[in-house]
Amino acid sequence: MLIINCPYCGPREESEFACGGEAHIARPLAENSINDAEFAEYLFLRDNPKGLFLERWRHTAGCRRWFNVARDTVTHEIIEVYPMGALPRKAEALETYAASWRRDTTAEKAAQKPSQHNAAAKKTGGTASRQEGR
Amino acid sequence: MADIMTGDAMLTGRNALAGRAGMSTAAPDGGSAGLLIKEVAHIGKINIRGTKAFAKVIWNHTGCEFPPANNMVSSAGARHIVWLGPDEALLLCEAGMERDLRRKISDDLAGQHFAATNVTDALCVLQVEGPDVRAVLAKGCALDLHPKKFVPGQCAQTMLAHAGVTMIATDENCFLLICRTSFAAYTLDWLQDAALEFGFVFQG
Amino acid sequence: MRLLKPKRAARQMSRLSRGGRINRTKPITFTFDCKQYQGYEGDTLASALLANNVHLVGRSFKYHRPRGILGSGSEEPNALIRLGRGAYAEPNLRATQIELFEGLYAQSQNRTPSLKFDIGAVNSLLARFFPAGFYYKTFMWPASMWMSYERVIRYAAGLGRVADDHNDPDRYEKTHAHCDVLVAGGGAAGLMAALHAGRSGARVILADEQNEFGGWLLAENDTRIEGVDASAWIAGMVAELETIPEVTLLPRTTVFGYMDHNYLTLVERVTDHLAERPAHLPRQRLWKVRAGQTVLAQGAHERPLVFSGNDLPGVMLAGAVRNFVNRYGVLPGNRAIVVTNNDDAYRTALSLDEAGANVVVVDLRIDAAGPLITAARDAEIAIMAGHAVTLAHGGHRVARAEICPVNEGATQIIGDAVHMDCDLIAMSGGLSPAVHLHSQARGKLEWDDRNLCFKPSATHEASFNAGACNGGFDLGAALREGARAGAKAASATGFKTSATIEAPALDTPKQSWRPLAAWKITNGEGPGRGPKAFVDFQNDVTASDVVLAAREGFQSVEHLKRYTTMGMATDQGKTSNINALAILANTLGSEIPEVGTTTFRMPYTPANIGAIAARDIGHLFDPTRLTRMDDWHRANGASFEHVGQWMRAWYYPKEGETMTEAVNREVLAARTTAGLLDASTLGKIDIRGPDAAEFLNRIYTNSWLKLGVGKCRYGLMLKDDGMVMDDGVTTRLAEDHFHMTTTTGGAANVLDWMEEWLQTEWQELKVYLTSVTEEWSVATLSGPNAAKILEAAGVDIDLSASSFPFMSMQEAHLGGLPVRLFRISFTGELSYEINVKARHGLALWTLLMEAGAEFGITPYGTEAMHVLRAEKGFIIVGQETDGSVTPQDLKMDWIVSDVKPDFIGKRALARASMGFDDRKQLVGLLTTDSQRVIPEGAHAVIDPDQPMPMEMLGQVTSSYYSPNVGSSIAMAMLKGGHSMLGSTVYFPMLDGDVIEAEIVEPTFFDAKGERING
Repeated sequence: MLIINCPYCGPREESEFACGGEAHIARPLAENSINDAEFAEYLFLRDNPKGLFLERWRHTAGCRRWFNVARDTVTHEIIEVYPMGALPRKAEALETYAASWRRDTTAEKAAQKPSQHNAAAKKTGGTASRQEGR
Repeated sequence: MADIMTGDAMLTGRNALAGRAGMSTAAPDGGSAGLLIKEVAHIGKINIRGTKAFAKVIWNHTGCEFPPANNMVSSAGARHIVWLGPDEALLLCEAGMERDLRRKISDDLAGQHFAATNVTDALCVLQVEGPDVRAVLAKGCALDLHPKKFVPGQCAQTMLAHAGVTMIATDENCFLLICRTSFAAYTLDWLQDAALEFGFVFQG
Repeated sequence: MRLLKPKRAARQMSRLSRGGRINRTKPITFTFDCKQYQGYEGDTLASALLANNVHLVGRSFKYHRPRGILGSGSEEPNALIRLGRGAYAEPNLRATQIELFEGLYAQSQNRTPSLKFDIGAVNSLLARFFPAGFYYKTFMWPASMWMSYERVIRYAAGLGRVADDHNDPDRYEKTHAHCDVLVAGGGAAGLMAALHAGRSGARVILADEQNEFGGWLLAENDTRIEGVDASAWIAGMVAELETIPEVTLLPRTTVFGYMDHNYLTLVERVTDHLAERPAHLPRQRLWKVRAGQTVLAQGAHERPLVFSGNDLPGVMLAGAVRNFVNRYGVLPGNRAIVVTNNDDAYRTALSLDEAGANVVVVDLRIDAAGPLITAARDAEIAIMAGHAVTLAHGGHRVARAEICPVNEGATQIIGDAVHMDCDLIAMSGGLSPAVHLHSQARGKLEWDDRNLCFKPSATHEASFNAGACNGGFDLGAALREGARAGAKAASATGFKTSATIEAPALDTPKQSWRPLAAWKITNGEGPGRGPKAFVDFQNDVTASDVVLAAREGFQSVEHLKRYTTMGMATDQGKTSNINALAILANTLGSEIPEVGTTTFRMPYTPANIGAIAARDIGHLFDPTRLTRMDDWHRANGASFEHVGQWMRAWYYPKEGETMTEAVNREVLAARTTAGLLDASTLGKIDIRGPDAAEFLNRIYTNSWLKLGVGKCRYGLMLKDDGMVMDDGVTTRLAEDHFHMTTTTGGAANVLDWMEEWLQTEWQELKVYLTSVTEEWSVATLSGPNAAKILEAAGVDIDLSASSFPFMSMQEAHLGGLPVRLFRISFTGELSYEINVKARHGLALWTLLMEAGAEFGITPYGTEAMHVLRAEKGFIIVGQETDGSVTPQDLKMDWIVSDVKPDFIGKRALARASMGFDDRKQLVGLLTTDSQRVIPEGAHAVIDPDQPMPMEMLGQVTSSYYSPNVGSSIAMAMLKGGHSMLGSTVYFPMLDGDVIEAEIVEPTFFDAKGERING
C-alpha cells in the first residue's frame, strides 16, 4: 500500500488512485501511415521493467486529475511526481524516459508528425501533450 | 463556517433522505449520543470549473476567494467555495439562490473556458457532529483526521467506506459530508452502523 | 444434539499456594473436552489447564501424536484449541493466548474420537512410510486421480474444524489510524520506546499482543528496576503513558502485517476475554495504521532442543516453564529436568527449585560457568555438564529421560546412559529474535555467531529494532535500545527529544546466554533411525525429514521449506526455523548464513477473516444506489434487480401475477397505450466549452460538428482498439454546451474515459465535463398515447411532430414543474424522456401516473424495457457486446464516419483482422417452435448431431418472449452471422434437447419505423 503524493491534494493512500500504466505513449493519428504491427506497438505493447518506471496515475477518489509518477518497481520508492504533458526533472527518471525502446518506434514518430488534424490543435497550444505523450 | 446551516430559505420538492425516518440508539454509558446526523437539505450547490483567471468575477458574486487554497474552503457569509481540484470547486449558497447565482456568474464569463453547473439536486449534504465524530469517520476514511491535521475550514474528496464523499471540517467536532444523492442512503446506513459503540441520533 | 453433562470441576492440584499475577479471589469455571475445571482470573487457558495438571491438549497434524503445551505465548505450535460452541466456535486458537473467562468452552482438535484414544495415531506406527514429501511422491500419478486424493488428504490433514454455521454472528470492526511512532511490542524495550517518543509530543501507538504490558518481565521474579520489582516498574511506566494524551495504548493487539510505506495492520481482541460481550462493541477490531516511524520491539522466541521424543506432553520450553511458575503460579511438574545449551535456563531451574520442584540441570556444555550456574549450585541443584537428554519416554506425558554424556555439539554419545524418571523436561536451545515484521517489511537479516541467531541488519522501511528482537538478549541493553529507538523515531518525525537518554538502574542477575551450537542431539542411531526428534511441531517435520530432503536434492532453504512444509504451519516456524536451517547446513556441510533463511510473510499470527471483512458485509458490503422515485416503486410492489450498484425496478407484478405475465402485460401496454419507465439511472454528463463539439467528434464514431442546437443524436463510443465501449444520446443545449447520456453501468467509466483524453492527450481542447446523473430524475413515457398523457398532465408546449420532431429537446413545464423533454425512443414508439430536477422526481412520476390513469398508463421495469428494445433490434452495450465487438460486427457501419480524419478507434477498425469473415456478428433468431425461448448464453451449432466437442458458432446474447410479435425472439453473436441469413442453427441443451432457430435480421417489430410519431 503506497502513499502517493497527489500533486494537488497531497499524500493519499494508494487505494484512492487508479494506475493508468506506462506513461509517455504518444497516440498516432488514424491518418498517419503506419502498418498494423507498428500500430500494435502503440496499442498493446507495454513495458514491465524491474526498477524505475514512469507511469500514469489518476487520483480517482480525490481530484480526479491525471499525473505521472516515477516509481521504482522493486523498492516501491516514488522518486518523482510530475504533471501530464511534462517530462520528469530528476536525472534518472529523464534517462529512463530517453532510454525507452518506445522512443524509436514508428508509432511514436508518427504521433509527432504534424498533420492536418493536429495542425489545428497546434494553434491552440496543445503540442506539449502530443510530443511528450499522455 | 459555523453559519452554513443558517438562513430560512427552503428548497421546494423532496430532499434526498426524505424517505428516511429518524432513528437513534442510546450511548452505551447512558450519556448523550456520540454522533448527531442530519441532512442539510436546504442549500444550493454549484460545481465550478475554471482557473484563477476568473477570481474577480467569482469574488464579485460570492465574496469568496477563488480558487480557495488547495484542500481548503473559502467563505463569506452564507457562501462557501470548497476546493475540489486544480480547476474545480463547489460553491455552496443559500437555498434557492443557486439558479440566479449560476446564471449571473456564467453570463459574466460567457465565451470563456469556464463552466458552472447547478448540482443542487445531485448532491446530498450530511452534517455529522459530536465528540466521537472523528473516531466514527476514521472507520471508513483513510485520511488523517487528527484535530491538528484536519482543521476547521479544511476539505477533502475521499472515500468514506465505499462512497465517494467531499468531507469538510466546519468545527473541531463537526463535519459536512457531501455525497451523490444515490449514495445518501448507503452513507447514512454506514454512519449509523459505525456509530453504534457511541450511540447516535439521526434527525429524519 | 444433546450435550454431555460436564463432569464436576477438579481441584487445581498443580497451582502453587502463592505468587503469580492471577487473582485468587476470582475463581473461574471452564470446560475442556466436556470436563469442568477451575482456574483464576488472569490465567490463560494453558496456565489453567496446567494448574489442573492437564498436559495432553491435542494431537499432531500428520502423525496424530499426543501433544502438550510447549510455549506460553504466540509461539505455541501444539496447543491449538477449538473455542466456543455452535456458530461461535473458532478453531486453531493457541491455548497460551486464550484468556480465561467464566464459562469458557474449549475442545481439543485433530482427534477421533477422543484425545486419549485417536485412530489417526496409526499414522505414527506407519511413520516409516510418511517421509518428507510423502504426498508429493505418492499422489502424483495418475494426475487425473489428484482430485479424489485431494479430498481424502484434505480431510485427514485438516487441523481444526470451523463452526458448522458459517454465518459468523460476531461483530467485527476496522478503523484507520495514523501516528508518528508505532511501537510493536510492549515489553521492556517497547515501553521505553513508547515513553520516550510519547514524552516528545509525538503521536504514539503502543500495541502488545498480551492482556497486559511488560512482556517477559512479567515472567521474571529476580529482576528489580530502579529499585522496585519489575511489575511495579511496569505499572509506573504504563501509568505515565496513560497520562500522555497523544499516546494510544493497545493491549491484546497483535501487529500482524507490515507493508510498504509504513502501513501496518493490527488486530485488537476487544471483547474476546469477556464472558459477557457487550453488543455495541466489536469482538475484534482491525487497525490499519500509517506510521511515520515504527519501533519493532517484539522480543524473541526460545528454540526447542532437537532430541528424540522432544514433542511429548511435559516437554516444554524453559522460558515458558518459568513464565507459568512466576506469572501464573503454576508448577508444571514436580520432577523436572532442565536441559539447555545456554545459561538462561538456569533461571528456570532456580524458579522451579524455589517453587518446590525436584530439579536436575542437564547442560550440553562441558565448561558451563558463571553467576547463574553458581546460583544453581548454591541452591543445591544437581548439574550434569556435558550431558544431553537423548531420548524422552512416555505415553501421554513424559515419564522418563535417557541422559548421556555427549561430545561438544551433542552429535555423539561418549559414555553410558542414565535413565531418570521425570514429569517435566524444560528445554532451551537459545533464542531467535522475532524478526517477522522487520522481515515482512523487507528488512535484511544477518547471522550472529555469538548468540546463534539471525538478527536485523538494514531496514527497508522507516523503522527501528530494539531489544531482544534486535538480537541483544540483555535487559539493560533492551531498555537502552528501546529508549533510544523511541527518541530517534520521534525525532525523525519532527519532534524534539532530550539529548541524553538515561537507562533505568538495574538489579538483576547478569544475563548471559553463551549458547552452544548443538542443533540435533544424537539418539545413538543413524539418521532416520530411532524415535523421532521434532523440528517443526505444528507440521510434524522431524530432523530426519530435513536430512532426507537435503539428500534428495532439496538443498535451497526455499525448496526445503516447501518440500518438508517446515515453517509453513500457522505458527510460521517461530520455534522451528533456525533449528531446521542449522540441520540443513550441517547436512550440506555448509554454514547457516550461507544456507540463509526464508522470508516471513504476514500475518505474524493468524488473523480472523471476520476482522478483515469487518462491517463490509450484508447491506454494507456494496452501496445500493437508489433513484428519487424509488419510494413509489417500493410502495407499488415492484420487484427489483441490481444494475451495477443501482437498484432498479425490474417489473411490477399485480396481485397473483407471475413475472412472465407481468412483463408481457407491461410490454403490450407500452405499444398499445403507454408505459412509464424510471430511467433516472442513465449516466448524464454536462459537456461545456468552446471545443465541446470537436471533442465529441473525436470521442464518438459519427459526426457532431453540425448538430443543431436543441437536437439529439445517438452516438457510439469505441476504445482505441476499435471495440464498442458505450452508447447513448447526446443533445446540443447550446453552441458550446451538450448533455450526454450514457448507459447506466457505463456512466462512471465514460466520464473517466473522457476526462482521461482531455487531461492527457488533448490538453489543447477547452472542454469541461461535469456529472449530472443525480441532478435529474428521468421518466420515460412511451407509447401511442404518450403525447395525450403529457397534455393531460398539463404540458405548456406544442407536441406536434412538426414543432417538436423526433430527436430533439425542448424545455417546458409539466403540471407546473420545469422539465426538459427529450423526444428520443428506445422502444420505437412515440416516446419522451422527461427530465426534471431530482427533488421533483417523485412528483413527476406521480403526476404522470395520475394523468395517464384514464389511458391505462402502465409502469414498466427493466425487463420490459429489454424486451421492447429487442423487438426493435436495439443493442445493449454489455449485453450484445463484450469488449470484442466492433460497429461492423453489429451492422452499425452507418454510424462510423469515413470522413472524419480521426476518432478513437478509427485506426484500429482499419486493421486487417477486422475484416475476417469468421468474426462474430450480430443476428436475429426466430425459433421454429415460436413459444420456445432460448436460454441466454446458449451456444449455436450447425449440426447438432456432430460428436462432442462440438464446433460452436457463437452465443445467444438476448432472448425473450415477445407478446407484440407473438413469438420468441432472440439476438445472437455468431461467426460469419451476417452471411447466414435464412440458415437454421441449433442450440443443444444440457438435458439432450435441441432448440432449432432460423437466422434473421435482428428487427422483429415495425421494421420500417412507422410508429415513432405515434
